[in-house]
Amino acid sequence: MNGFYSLWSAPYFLKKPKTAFMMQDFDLITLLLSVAAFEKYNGQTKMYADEAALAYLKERSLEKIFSRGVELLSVPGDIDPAVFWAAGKLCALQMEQMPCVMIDTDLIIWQSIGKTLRNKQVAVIHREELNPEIYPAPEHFQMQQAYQFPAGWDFRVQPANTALLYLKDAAFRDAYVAEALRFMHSLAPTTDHLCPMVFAEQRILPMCAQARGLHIYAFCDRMEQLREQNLFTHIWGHKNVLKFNMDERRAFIRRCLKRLQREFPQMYETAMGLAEFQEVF
Amino acid sequence: MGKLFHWLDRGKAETVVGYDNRINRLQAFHAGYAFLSWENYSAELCAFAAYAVWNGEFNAKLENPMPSGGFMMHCTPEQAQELCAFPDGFPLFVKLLAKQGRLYVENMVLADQERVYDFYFNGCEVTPPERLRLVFAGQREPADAHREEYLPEKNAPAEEPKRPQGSAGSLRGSYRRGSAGSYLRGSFVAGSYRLGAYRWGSAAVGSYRSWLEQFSGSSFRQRGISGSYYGAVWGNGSFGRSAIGSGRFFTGGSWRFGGWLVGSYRFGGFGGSYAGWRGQGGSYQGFGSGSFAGGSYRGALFGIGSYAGGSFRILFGTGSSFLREAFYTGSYIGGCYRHGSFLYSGLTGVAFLLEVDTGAELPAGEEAAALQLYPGQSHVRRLIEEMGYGLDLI
Repeated sequence: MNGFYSLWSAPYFLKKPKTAFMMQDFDLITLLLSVAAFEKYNGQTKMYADEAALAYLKERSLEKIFSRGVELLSVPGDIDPAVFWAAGKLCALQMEQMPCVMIDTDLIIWQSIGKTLRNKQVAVIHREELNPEIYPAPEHFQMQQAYQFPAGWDFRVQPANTALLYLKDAAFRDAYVAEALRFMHSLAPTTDHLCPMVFAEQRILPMCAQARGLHIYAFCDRMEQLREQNLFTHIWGHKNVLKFNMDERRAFIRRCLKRLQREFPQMYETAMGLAEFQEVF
Repeated sequence: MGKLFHWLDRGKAETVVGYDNRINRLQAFHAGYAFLSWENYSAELCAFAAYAVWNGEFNAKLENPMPSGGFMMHCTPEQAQELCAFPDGFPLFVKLLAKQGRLYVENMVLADQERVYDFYFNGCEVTPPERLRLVFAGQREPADAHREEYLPEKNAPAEEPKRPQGSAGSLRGSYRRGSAGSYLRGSFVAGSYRLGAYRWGSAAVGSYRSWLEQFSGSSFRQRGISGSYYGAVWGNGSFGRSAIGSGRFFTGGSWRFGGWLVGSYRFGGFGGSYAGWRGQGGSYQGFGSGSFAGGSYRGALFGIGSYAGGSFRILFGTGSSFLREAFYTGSYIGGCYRHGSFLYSGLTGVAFLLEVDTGAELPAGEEAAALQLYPGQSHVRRLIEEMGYGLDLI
């Protein structure tokens, strides 16, 4: 089972122009742990990164941690990175060979998922509640005149969280990415930085799947299950705590380093070679 | 962009390591205000979810600019009751950390006049105050003074002091330093500042007049015993509830504060009395000079006074204070005054009041104290373990 990650620096530069791209230490250690765990339990990994992100990785010799190497990520220039901050994922998905697992850089998979994915067409980490504040009705979006939502889409379908996304079939992948990109290209300029992105990424997917008669397997059906499972670590909103709470941040990094040392000594050596972790503050 | 915090930038000739060392040796300084209210207090957790307003220029220099919400502060219900009696912002002090040339907040404390409280981010929800009375400590001492006060190692990069400028919405303007005199000259959006004597302020703030004063940053520094201030906000020697700003008062008269006092104030003269601070009946009998600054005070030449239920004593060159059970000591003349481990000179700037309607609605009966809340009733939650999942698997 192949897995891949992606790094698109354009959203970063919106917030920090005229700086060099960088990953914060907690982001970086999570990625190292994620790659190490995936390679141990599931298979080979690859990183799709745009020029700035690639330079960042290469400067630290981190391209070597991905057994399938790194590849230059290209995202259409007319996609607004402020609105579609995760467009890089979809563009990377378009470049990857199927079947594969798309993994967020803040997600760690602690066990083999190959057996579970056998005979599955599409799998996601969990489904989402159809909260109208986050997933509003299609009329919410100001689309360019030429755009029409496909007639076959059922907007009552629960969204699917793609922190982990498994796709078996290249044809479905092509259809999903094409629809997502078409939506991104057709959305009128907006200041809404949440709803359009999650629509393109997490709502178009299940609607496309349903329109093609594909079942989506979810590792967790309910949000509550996420608290009980022992398969994934998803840093998710905890990143905010790590950003603003230095005590938590240090504790988190130390915990990750200890886990690397205990279970992934090679990756631990890599981490300790990085200035970020030579002194944990 | 303002330039008050330019000393947080890395100098052109400064190495990353040198910069990190310089920043990591800084003491905590004033960088924002926290707003506390009953509706954001949990008696179960003994904690406030706090709403913070940060100095924008300072915040922009951080690698991760601080948000307004998500902060928690622990205190007993009794302390909460005292804190909630004061609806305006409490000063927030931050200790910075630099790593590889990037700035982070190491930790934060909220300062009341008598205590400091640990203040930390855990992502908890906070209901914004209905109306924010934002009190900007705004200006600090000029850049060269900063180096003296904040960088005892004097390893800051050599840069020309930059002209102070108000933070967004605050004072703006230009000034010119007098080459021989102890004055600066300039003008502001909200007033004017003239040679020798000046007026400053706006209709919302009032005006000050002074002679032989040095204007430094936005604080007023007395130069010589002949210097004096007179005049005050809305009245001759009295403050209404909207007493804000920074001033230094040399008077033998009596000053009365109808409500609260924020910003930085220095009091001087002989036998002056100052009453009604924060409406608590606190008083200050001053010899020499002293100041109250949003719950802190700055040192003086010498003086003895009482202070809101406690007392403090100040001697030339060093100062100590006894504010109830807390004890603070430090030196300040020609340098800085330290309140515990915290430097208070950051409060000397002009405070500035801005009323902002946040659009939030306060529930009726806000005064329903947290003491009356049943466990689980408060919306304040400790969310630190709830914002990701599988974190314990690491």
